[in-house]
Amino acid sequence: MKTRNSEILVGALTVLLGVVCLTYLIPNYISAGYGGGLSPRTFPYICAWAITVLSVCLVANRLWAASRGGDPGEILVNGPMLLRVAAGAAALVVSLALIQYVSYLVGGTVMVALYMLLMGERRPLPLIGISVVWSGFLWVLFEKILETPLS
Amino acid sequence: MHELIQGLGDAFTLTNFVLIAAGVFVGQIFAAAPGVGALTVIIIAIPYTYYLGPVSALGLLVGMNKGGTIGGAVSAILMNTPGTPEATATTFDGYPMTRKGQAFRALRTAHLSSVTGDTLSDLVLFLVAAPLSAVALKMGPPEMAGVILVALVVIAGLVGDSMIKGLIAAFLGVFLSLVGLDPNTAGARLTFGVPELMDGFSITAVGIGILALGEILRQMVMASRAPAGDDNEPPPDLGRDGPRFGFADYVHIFPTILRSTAIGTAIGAIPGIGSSAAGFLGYAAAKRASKTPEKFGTGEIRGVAASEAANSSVVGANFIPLLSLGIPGNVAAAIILGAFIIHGVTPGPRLFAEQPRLIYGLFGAMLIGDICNLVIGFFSMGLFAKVIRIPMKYILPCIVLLCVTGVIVSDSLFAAWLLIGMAMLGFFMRLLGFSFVTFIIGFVLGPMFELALRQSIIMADGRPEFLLQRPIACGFLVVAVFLLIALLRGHRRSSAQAASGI
Repeated sequence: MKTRNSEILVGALTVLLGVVCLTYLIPNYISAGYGGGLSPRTFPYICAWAITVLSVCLVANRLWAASRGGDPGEILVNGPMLLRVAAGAAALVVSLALIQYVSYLVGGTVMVALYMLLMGERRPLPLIGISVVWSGFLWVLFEKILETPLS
Repeated sequence: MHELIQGLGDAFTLTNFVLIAAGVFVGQIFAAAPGVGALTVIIIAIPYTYYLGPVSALGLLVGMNKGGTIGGAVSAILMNTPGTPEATATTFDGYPMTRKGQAFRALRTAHLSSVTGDTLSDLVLFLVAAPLSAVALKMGPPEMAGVILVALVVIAGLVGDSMIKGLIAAFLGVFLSLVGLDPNTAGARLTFGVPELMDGFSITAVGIGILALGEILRQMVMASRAPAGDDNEPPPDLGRDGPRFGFADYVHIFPTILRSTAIGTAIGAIPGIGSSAAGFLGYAAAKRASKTPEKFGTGEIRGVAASEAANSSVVGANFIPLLSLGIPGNVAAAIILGAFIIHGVTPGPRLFAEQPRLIYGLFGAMLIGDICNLVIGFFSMGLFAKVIRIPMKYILPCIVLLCVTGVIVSDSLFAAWLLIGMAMLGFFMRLLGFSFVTFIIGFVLGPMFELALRQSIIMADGRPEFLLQRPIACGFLVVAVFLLIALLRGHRRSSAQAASGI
């Protein structure tokens, strides 16, 4: 997706976010206060209105530029890129779940190994060696020496 | 005077020397590795400073910040790839010097120019911050709200390529900072019944997610696009057999250092402009002032000195608005502001009156950082040539675990889960050109702005004419509107020029 189209899409999404905040999130999830002083909703409303109005301006600005036929910019977002980012996030989810439900040592080792794999390392010795040694070092440092629980 | 001696006594301890030296060394190493940067290590280090007292903790972080000023120049000079964005102008003459076999001379020039510029700007901070805070102390909540508004407009306008996107990022940051309990009524705001959200998002989780993990995700994606490098490639030649940096060289570049320091200090004192602009402006000023401007870009030693002195002098000057007004000048200062708050210290005009001992302790720590930066730099340059060859595929995964561990230690496992969302947000902000700098500064300034505005409204008691009784606050409002219009027009003009290919 080209720069301009990405910005139109992101602008539209932030407009949507602003509208959802204004019409649903703030009225339902922020208390109205007790009547005295400034309501707890005031500042969130100011921010949500600002985000909405500025996002409309962003979309309008980019649509206006598109109508004039200028350079749409380089390709910013593509499928493989999104897949890699999703893989990075998934690696975090898996390893955090392992830290929470199994142990820090297992989750930490898996986290380092997965990220090394994602960054192109395929040799088993560095994969296993670095991930085990690094997570083991942090575990010993915090759990044993500093007596700070890690999971 | 008593507080000054006590504060310096707190700073000049063996423990602090060791911690600050370690901070400087780590900052130098991380900044030397292209793409990692001292900022990443500062935000990662914050959770680990829980084990330290305020002076030691802030000294460690300031040491890292100072170390980063030298480290960024290493890969700029040796590989033509700036380790940090602010070292970009250093490549113009640094890399040509390497190609001439003068790499070691260029590294020493960068080292001494950085330390001189940084130390001089620290001295300006020591002289200016206290009087400025005395003036700021006379300002009430309406004036503080005005100052924060001006700072947000300037930062949104000057950081990044689009003012609208800058403002959206700033308001998103402010909005996120509002999650938690309302400070006046204790009513829940966007906590969705989750008890862990009652205290809001912690600065460590937001900072580490947006700054460190967002950048690592970007690096991971970029690594897949770049051609694979050769791990066995020999380290760049340092040119140790070439001409050495001597005292005559230092005398030769000293006027350039002074000019760049003045530029960097002025820029650092204004929130939002940052070290990269200072480096370019310092370089351009040195070229303009030179009798032989044609030598710049071909390996001119004054080119390296100009860029490095300017970008390093921003570091000390950034603390001027932070300590005197409580407003961070750049993202590193915003992160250090977060560290202040974590350690129970609120920077701002009252800090000088209420905790002078701590301030002088911090000044002492900054001086130790300058000394460590000078001494360690003499020994570390050879090591850096090897460090910058360590493949990112080993460094970054270890940093990811360090980030997650830091958040678990300082906050909770729940906050570590929040990191995933913050990392994604940080990645897409970088990809789409939304300034993460304005986002973080908005996040840090949001609660302060809300507090100042609430207090102002209570003071006004429903009388709009109250604003007219506060001419300074009115002045800040006018300045904010004027700057907003001027910066918007400036952005529109530069966009039009870019579109027409001028």
